[in-house]
Amino acid sequence: MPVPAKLTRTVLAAIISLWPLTSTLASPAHKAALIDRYGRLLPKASASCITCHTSDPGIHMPTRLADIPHNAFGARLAALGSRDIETRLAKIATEDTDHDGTSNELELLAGTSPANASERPTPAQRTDAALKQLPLAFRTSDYAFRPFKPVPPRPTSNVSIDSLLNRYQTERDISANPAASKEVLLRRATMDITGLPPTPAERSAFLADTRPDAYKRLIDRLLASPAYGERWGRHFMDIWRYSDWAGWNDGGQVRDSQPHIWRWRDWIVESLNGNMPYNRMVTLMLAADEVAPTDQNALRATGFLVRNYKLLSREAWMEDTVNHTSKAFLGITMHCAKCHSHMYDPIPQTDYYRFRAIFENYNVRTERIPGEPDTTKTALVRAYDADMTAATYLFPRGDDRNPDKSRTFSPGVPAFLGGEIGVKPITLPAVAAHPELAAFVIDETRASLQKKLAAALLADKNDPRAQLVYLQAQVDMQIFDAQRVIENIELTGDKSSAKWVMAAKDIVRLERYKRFTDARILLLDARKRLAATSDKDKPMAQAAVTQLEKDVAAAEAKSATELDTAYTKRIQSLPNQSTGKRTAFAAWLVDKQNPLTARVLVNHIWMRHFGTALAPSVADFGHNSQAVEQGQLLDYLARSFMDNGWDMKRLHREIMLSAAYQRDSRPSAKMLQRDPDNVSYWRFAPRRLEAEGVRDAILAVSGQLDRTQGGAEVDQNLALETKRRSIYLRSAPEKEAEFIKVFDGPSVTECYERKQSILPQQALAMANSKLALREARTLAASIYDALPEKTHVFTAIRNAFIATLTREPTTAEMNECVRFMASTAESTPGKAENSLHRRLENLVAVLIQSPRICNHSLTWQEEIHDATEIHTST
Amino acid sequence: MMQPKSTHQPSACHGVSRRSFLTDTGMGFTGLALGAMLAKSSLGAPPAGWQSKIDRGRSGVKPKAKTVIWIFLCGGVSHLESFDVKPELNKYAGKSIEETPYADVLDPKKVGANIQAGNPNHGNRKVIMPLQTGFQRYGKCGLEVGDWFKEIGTCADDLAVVRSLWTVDNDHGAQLTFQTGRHVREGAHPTIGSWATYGLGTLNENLPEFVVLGTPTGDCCGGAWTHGASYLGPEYAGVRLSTDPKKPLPYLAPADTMTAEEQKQNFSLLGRLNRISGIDYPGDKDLRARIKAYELAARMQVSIPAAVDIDAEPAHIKTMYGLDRPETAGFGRNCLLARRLAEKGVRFVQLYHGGAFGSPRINWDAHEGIVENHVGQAASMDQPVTALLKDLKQRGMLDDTLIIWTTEFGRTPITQGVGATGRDHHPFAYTCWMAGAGLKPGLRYGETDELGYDSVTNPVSVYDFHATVLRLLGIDHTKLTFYHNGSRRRLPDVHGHGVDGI
Repeated sequence: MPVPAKLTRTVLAAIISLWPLTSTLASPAHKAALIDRYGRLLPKASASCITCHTSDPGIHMPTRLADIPHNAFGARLAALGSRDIETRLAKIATEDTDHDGTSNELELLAGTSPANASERPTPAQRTDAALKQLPLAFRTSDYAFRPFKPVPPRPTSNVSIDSLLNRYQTERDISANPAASKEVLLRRATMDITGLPPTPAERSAFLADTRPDAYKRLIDRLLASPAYGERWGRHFMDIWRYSDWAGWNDGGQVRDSQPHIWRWRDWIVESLNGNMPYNRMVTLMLAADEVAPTDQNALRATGFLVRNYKLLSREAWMEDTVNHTSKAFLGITMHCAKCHSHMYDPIPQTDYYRFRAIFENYNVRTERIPGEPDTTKTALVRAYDADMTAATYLFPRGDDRNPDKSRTFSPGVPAFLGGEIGVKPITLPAVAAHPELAAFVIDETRASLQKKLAAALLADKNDPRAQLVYLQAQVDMQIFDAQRVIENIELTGDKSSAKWVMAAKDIVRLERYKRFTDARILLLDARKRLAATSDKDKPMAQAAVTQLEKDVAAAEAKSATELDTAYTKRIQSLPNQSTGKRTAFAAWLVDKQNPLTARVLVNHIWMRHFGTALAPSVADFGHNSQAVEQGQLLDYLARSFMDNGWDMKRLHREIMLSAAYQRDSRPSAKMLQRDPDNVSYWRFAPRRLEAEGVRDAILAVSGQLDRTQGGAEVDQNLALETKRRSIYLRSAPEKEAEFIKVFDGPSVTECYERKQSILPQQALAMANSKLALREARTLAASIYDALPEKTHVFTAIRNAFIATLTREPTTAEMNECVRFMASTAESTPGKAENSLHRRLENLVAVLIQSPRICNHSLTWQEEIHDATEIHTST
Repeated sequence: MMQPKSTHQPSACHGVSRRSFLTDTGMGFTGLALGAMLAKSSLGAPPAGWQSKIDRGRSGVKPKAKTVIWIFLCGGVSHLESFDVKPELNKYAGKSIEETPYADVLDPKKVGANIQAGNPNHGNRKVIMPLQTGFQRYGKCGLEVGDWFKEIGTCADDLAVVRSLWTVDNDHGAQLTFQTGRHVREGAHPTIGSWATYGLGTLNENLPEFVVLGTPTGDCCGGAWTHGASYLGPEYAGVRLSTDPKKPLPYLAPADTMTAEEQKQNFSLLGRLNRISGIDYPGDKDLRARIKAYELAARMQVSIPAAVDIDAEPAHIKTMYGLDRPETAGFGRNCLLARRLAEKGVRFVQLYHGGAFGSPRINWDAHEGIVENHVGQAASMDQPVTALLKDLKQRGMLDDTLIIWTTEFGRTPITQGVGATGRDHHPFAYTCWMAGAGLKPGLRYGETDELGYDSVTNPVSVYDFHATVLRLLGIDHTKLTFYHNGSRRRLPDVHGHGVDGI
């Protein structure tokens, strides 16, 4: 149902109008209405009380707003009877109150006073203001991008998820389901937050907890679990397109993404567990290299950008960056405007290239981390601005082979969202430009040189080679110290003083001595080889010795010549500047005035709790998206999310504590008729866990899940053998685990929401895979071993149900299972399959594979029915 | 499917009573067709019958074929030495193209304009290489065929040869383009096999409808995506079957000591427990579909091993496909299996010859030496493919089966390097042939220039080719769409016209 236009206002207005009221004057509702209408298009000069009220400084500020006298413009506004100031503003937009030849609206947009004829826009201001009229038209029309309305609190009740849904349901005569049983809630919440089913011990504890806030305590416990970061980290890896490196030849050629990018995955998991505010996460992912350039932990976040790396096409790399940054954070489809202006949304083709310009300069690099000097073994891969001068050109009809070089594009966001982002170049600290200056690199280098020196000291004093090795180690250490001296001199910008010359010459002297020493060691070794060589190879060995003798002599001769300053640098020189484009973009993105960022995020989170999104097209909020049925709810959540510090755990808590989340899932025929798609959330619709959850749950119920967190990705071909959580399996183009793929695993190219296909291959994987059968047998063994008497069939069945489904069997189910346990024996007398143990294994295998375990037992989000009622209905 | 900018419309609700639920999901496997339909996806409500529902993109014209066998030769077959023989190459051997009367074929305005983000390491080399094999005319139509393909030559009158194909990638991403109609840099998109099954549905509810045989192209250039379904969903993706009757499909049989008897009892218990759940959820079509998927899985455990049981074929058929010779046995098994699957109603069989990249080469990517490579590849392919053609014909199946023999791109008329014996990738012109499906026998469509460099008469893009294939299946490519990510997607994107005259 469309939102009544009358109520439509901006998020911004809501923020302002709900400002804490210290006095009536501090509540400039009319100014808010002004800003509400024009948003970011309104210059600061116009967003002021004196736009409508007199600016005479002689007038004493009265205590009531209404007492401030109006100027001509304000008086004209006030004279229009309507209560709605937005409507009044629209009415006089084309009038020219001060008769200076410029309409009121154009003056407001230009930042000049519509009430003062002596204030007129300059030609430049006029042009600028005129350009704003198109986006203004979109903003004020009944258009999909028009920000949703804020929800005015009612005098009788606070706004909440339930108050909004209840109103919606009441209006449509829909009666919602009652709350689900405690058992079901435990399973639902545990799987939702941790991606794992509750253990039998957790079940007993929760059922025994009769405190009124037991459920709230459960949610707090779950949100504090490290498994939360893993399950929700995987959700965000979908949205942010996580991919391990792809390519071929075992990494000999990396074509997509990069090795070591798993550090970004770990950063996501850790950040969620640490409840880092979402706005901070977004900022670090887009610009950690600018806002936290020396913090390697934070730099991991730029994996978001690193992931787009492509060996074969920088164009495709940039295209993916634009496409998926705009979709992931803003829910807009910028990529449509690559070849032509957007067909549905107000994004001209030029805006695409302005957006691209934000990313034009960045590239990726791999740098050393503490503890491992060899970056091929492990390292940090990160983004940085590599090319300060890279220009962005428009590709006519999107053809990147023929750029239009007649103009370049400066960075910006689509004009209808504000256009400018205010870029300021950033000067980076020395260690960002010269990573070898990092304290840990210096310490580790010195330590390794000291180790070498200490080892050389222990060697035989009478061995001439050992003596030389000692000299070599000594000179290496001296060179390093001398390098540190000159590096400190150069850091001040000094590259020519007498002090610098002396330091440079000192290094050159040491380098010469080192070359001499190195050559002598080589010569000693060559002579030794010559002595041990057979006659046949003697001439060659002799030639090597002769050459080295010349080298030693040359090195010695060189040492005697005058010293120059051409020393070899220890440190590399990377850019010491960054464009600041991405920082500016990130700041714009998480500005509270941005109507999209919070809504897109809240929508994603809601969808992952409930299975359906409030705005159904999660990656496209534009004109071509599906209609939003619960816009008020989405806006309420988005605004309170921002107001509460972009706190995701708080949002989870609010959602999960709502009555809507706790509803029973069973359908009633009547409600299925009225709201078959559960748009009003009258029930909690059951659904299947995603692929990773299916695999993890199998390992969890058998007690075999390896809870180790983080680290390099695990070979995807080991998916059935390894007991690590699925989030750690390699996931990249052409490198996806078969088991995960069968259950609609994530598409690594684009995955804003998972599909829920229903395939016979899924049933086969659950029934026959090595993983499912092995874990079934493991679980059966532990149930069997714990039986007090090995004939206790009922206890065995009961415990199998609790372990897999977190509940007891119903009478009907118990009857079926008892019959199963017995009939097997009758059908194949005398076989090994007859033992109670073996039959129990088969029973557990059935429970694991059955579509009921997560209802499809393990594969569903929760059990869809509750024990007592099933009993009465059969 | 989503409707753009729709206001909310409740989806059709087919109230299902508990009784009908129990009937539908009963252990007697009633309503199998309905079950197969439900297993497709959760889209829409249960239909009255599968044929009325699976009716996407119909053109209204009677289909010429109901089944496709899509033979894809990995690595790029030389068109010059197979089905587009160019004697002029012998005349100008050793010369550069500029030195021949056909220098204008190099005009960059004419060729190469369609290559996107090409790999600069592949392309134009200097010296014309003569034909590396002889050729003969075959059949009434007098089709010239290189001597490496003598067996196929004997079927000349059944072939419709298209000699003017061209593609947009000069690297192995072309393999993906040929299946999806997209450049590899656009990532994964649904392949033609998945589109065909999405449009037409199944003919046998006990078997997957899109089957992949042979070794798919490998760990490079979109390889694994060449039989995928991308956004159409995994239910339309090609299911890889191996000819090993013990393990034709992952997870088809229990991975450990569980016996068939035990498994039968397990499925039976599962069915009973599922019905207990179902009583509480009579209207839940997903739950119904899942229960049905379990039943289909149980049936596939029986039907797939039977389908892949090649040993059941008579000896003369096995010999016909070359199962008795080591060089033809491997591909021969796949060709024979393709026929068996087509017979049993599998809609689309994608049959790879060659396979992954690597060293030594096991596909047609003849950079180092065209003779050594193509002789070896052709020896394993020529007889089995011919057998497949003749076998289908003798069974009367060729009338409604479409066979397509195709590859990534052609190979250069010039050598790869001076004095070298290899031919490089050549995307500007290459050849494929089709058979069956009521195609005009002995037809030749399109021409290249005298050097086989460029498609000059009736050029056929990959998009056109896809549109043509869909048309033979009774599908209008502009009507077969899937709403995804903001637009109604089609197989040939916004391009493509069905080729008239085929």
